[in-house]
Amino acid sequence: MANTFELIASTELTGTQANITFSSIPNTFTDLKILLSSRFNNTNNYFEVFFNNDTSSGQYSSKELDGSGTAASSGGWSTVAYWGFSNKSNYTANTFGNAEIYILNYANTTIQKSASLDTVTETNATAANMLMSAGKWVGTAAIHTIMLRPDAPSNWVQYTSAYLYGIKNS
Amino acid sequence: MTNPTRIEINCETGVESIIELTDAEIAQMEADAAAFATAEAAREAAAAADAEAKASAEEKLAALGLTAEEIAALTK
Repeated sequence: MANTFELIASTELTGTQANITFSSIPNTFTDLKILLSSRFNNTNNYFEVFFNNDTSSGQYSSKELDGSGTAASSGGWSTVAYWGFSNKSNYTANTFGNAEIYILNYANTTIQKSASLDTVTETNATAANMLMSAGKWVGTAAIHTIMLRPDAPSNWVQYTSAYLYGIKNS
Repeated sequence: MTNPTRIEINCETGVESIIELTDAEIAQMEADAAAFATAEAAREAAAAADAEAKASAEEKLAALGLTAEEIAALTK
């Protein structure tokens, strides 16, 4: 159980951006957590999480559960990164989706890195999505950079915000 | 025409930088999006095939005389 929870960095966008990147993350914590409030300028659903600027195909794998309010599905991925849902441009105006990303043992230099994502969207319609996914990155280096990138051609819109926390286990 | 930009937050200094994407980064984004679309289409096709097979099996069970409740009990 975490007994410390410290804000490392945060941002609230003042304009449209293609991705949000946290760089030079200190290696002094046990785990990392990102809280994201987000919306796209396009009707794509998904965003991806990349570590240390590694966007190569095959470097990530994940499993996911998805519920829309009317249907449920599950799946697995072996060629794309972790991904989650964000509010998109045709959702109710000025609403944002939420995401929570938990990254374990990010500073370890011998193990592949695991992470989990819980994401939800918000709109005044029959279907709004929630998605849970978990997966791994094959890299063993300490994570020093995290990129949150909408699936092209979407971009994050103004007022999207991201908070990066460090968590210590002692 | 300028490329889209990204924001980078340096966690050591707290400095936020707005950086124009390179042509290579844009190409990578487009390639990743295409790979994702392909994978998503394959997943949706597999899910549709499963649903079709399930419906077909339920029809055959009904033709054998099973009630809807009995079929539902088998698929739980």
